[in-house]
Amino acid sequence: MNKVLSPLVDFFATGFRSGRLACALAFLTTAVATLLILQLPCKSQSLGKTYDYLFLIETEQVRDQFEYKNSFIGPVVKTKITYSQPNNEDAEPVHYEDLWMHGWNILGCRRMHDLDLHSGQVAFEVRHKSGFGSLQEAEAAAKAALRLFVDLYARRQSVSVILVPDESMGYMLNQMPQAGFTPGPESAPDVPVYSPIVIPIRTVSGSQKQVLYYTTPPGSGDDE
Amino acid sequence: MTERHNDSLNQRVRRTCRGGVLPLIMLVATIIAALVMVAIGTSLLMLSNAKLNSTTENIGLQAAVQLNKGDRIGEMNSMIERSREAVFTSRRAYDDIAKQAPHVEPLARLLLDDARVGATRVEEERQLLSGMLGKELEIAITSKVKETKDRGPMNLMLLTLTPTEDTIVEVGSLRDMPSNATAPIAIEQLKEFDRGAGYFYQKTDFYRPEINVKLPAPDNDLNFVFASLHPRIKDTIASARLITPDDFDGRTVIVAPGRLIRPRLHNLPTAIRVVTKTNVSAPLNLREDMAITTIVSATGSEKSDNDSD
Repeated sequence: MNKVLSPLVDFFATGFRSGRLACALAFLTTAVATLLILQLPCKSQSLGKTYDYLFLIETEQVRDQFEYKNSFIGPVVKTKITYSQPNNEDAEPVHYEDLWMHGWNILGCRRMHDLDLHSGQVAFEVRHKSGFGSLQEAEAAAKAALRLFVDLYARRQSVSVILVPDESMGYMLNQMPQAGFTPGPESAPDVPVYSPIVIPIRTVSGSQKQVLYYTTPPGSGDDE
Repeated sequence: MTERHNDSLNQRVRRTCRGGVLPLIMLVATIIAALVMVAIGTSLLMLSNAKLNSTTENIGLQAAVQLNKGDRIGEMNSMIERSREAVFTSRRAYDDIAKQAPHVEPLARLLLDDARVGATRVEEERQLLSGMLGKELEIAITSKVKETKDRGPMNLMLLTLTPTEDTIVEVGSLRDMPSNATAPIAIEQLKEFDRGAGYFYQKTDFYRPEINVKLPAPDNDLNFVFASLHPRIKDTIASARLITPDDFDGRTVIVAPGRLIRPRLHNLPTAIRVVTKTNVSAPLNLREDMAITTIVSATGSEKSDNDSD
């Protein structure tokens, strides 16, 4: 840090000595602001430290496969799921499975590793390899999150939060009711929640926060 | 008297000897000429055979390369395996949830149904691709044959080779070749089931082709059929190549002379037998149809199913 700071301090001292106070003050402000930004942890770092297990759901549009006319399954989105333990520096990230989707429909799965988790808080983070999420990638991410949720729930573990890219939030929320998760605002602490499963979902920037309330999926026959 | 008699006898013998050489030379020359003709004829026939072979092999190999263009057969095989895993893992999750958390059972059932629908879609895709490959092969080979015919007859000294459009194309698979799809990596239960059912090729982890690799009940109503395709071994990808008739397992004739065949292919083709016919004509109005057969296998799979990316 000293190596970074010393040129700035020298420059500030020179500016101050030469009487160019305004210039020096401007640089001082810039330096302080830069330092503050550098000290701030990024979103995923801060999220990781809060949870014992962080599942990364990374989507990628597969090129040049099943892209011929009348294809039943193209275009295909590949979703890679890995989990890590942000609080355990010795633990390597584990490649759990790859999923292949055609929009909302799952086509295939290649499991690479068992779910070998101890009890603890779990978070999902969705990322799109291209940097921006298309509708198909958001659909694939939503379905992958649901599959993962069921896998964890069967091991008596729940999900504390789903973190999604800002541009995919709307797409993902639109898909969730198909699986029985109705998005809604966070209820006040004194209001009872009539839902067996509640999963908070929010954007990476923190600009949007919603909660997914589980009810029986439509058409499952258990609506009554 | 005796002396004179002996002289005349000697002269006659000498004359006879001199007179016998010419027919002998003619006879030998005729034999040599005939042998030369036979040799030329044979070499011409061999030359024409080699030329026709090369043309047919070229047609076959180009079609074989086209067959697995972009590793589409390899990708289809891999997707079939992934589809099995998706159904199996969804069924297992459903069973666990139904026992431990019945209130989430509808969600687990939805995911299971979804995986089963996905498996049906993948099977439909396999059939679509099979039909598409058959059609592509038919067009590619018949157009190449027509192109060769349109170039006109080839003259090889005394022989004239006239290609015809009478072609037979049969598709099938490679005998004694597994599929490129490999056993599950982290689902030991499914791997054990598959091994017990004899789904793996010999002692490898590659699935056997051309059989219905069913899942355990109750998902045994779904169909999963792999195509035989040379798997990638380490960094080696098998290129399209000529194979012997013993290695070819012919299934369906897709082009036949004088008949329009639009067969429905049930399996992905990975080997092709092409028979072309050429009319060979020689002086003295000698004509014969020469059939050339070539059998080729498609390019092997480009990716290994165990590649993480």
